[in-house]
Amino acid sequence: MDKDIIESAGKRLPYKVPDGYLEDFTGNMMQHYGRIKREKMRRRYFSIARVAALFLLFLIPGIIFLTDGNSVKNNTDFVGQDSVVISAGENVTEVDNSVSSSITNLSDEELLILTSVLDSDIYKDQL
Amino acid sequence: MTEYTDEYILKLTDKPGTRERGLTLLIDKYKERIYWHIRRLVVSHEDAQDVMQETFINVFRFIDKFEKGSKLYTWLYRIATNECIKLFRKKRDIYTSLEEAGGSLLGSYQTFGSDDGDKIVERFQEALLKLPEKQRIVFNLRYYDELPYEEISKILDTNVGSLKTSYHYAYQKIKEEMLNSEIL
Repeated sequence: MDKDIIESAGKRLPYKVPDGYLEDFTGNMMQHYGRIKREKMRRRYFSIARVAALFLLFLIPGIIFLTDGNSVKNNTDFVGQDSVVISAGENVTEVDNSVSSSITNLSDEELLILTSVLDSDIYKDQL
Repeated sequence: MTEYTDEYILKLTDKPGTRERGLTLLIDKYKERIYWHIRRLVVSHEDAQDVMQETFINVFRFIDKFEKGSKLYTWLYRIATNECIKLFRKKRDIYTSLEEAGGSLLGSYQTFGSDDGDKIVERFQEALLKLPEKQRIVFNLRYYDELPYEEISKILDTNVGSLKTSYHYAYQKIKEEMLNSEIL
């Protein structure tokens, strides 16, 4: 009798499941899975973008620094090229000619001013 | 409906291309069993619904970490049971004592359960709901799900000897409670 009392209840349960809950459960959960998957992908893209942004943040100043260095070097090269052109002596006569022609074109008054300027030049003896 | 083997389902979930199909088959195969396990523990359908959702979200998250040597249903029962325990703890935070928490389950049962008006089933459930949490979980897994003690031991991380003792005490208490209520 003692044991019977539990056995008589058996495995029956006094609960009911709302209609359609278990039938729809798989579909609902898979929709949820889709959302989780999309969210995961979104997070992955964000973290990749964040890493890329950090990379660029460190890379850009480096590129700018390197570009500046090159332009200074290029400018130096340019100046150097000029000086090379002048020191080569090929175009010196051309420069001299242009200077002498501009002097010949000066008026008497202008020539007087130029002479007085040249006389007052403190570095004239060093030339 | 064809019932697929766990090995086949796990093979599908292993590959990204077939994972969705594998998860669908997994849910289809176990949803009913897991639902009733949860429902017996948490009593109300609303709570069971929340726990079911959390359980399968955890399945989605951790299916990659499932150890292939273990049984799939043991793993599912473990996740579901842990989610039920989490819910009990939350409720315990709301109710000030264990008795109150237990009483809340009984209250849920009296509100939502007892649809068929079978008195003996009602008395049985009421006696079951008065058990301490651990004894109630062990009793449910052994009595309703007929799981071997070795599997229950894996689900609850408890040794077999202690599980047998818990089950024995639970059985005695239910019987006593039912006999007392019969006299009254």
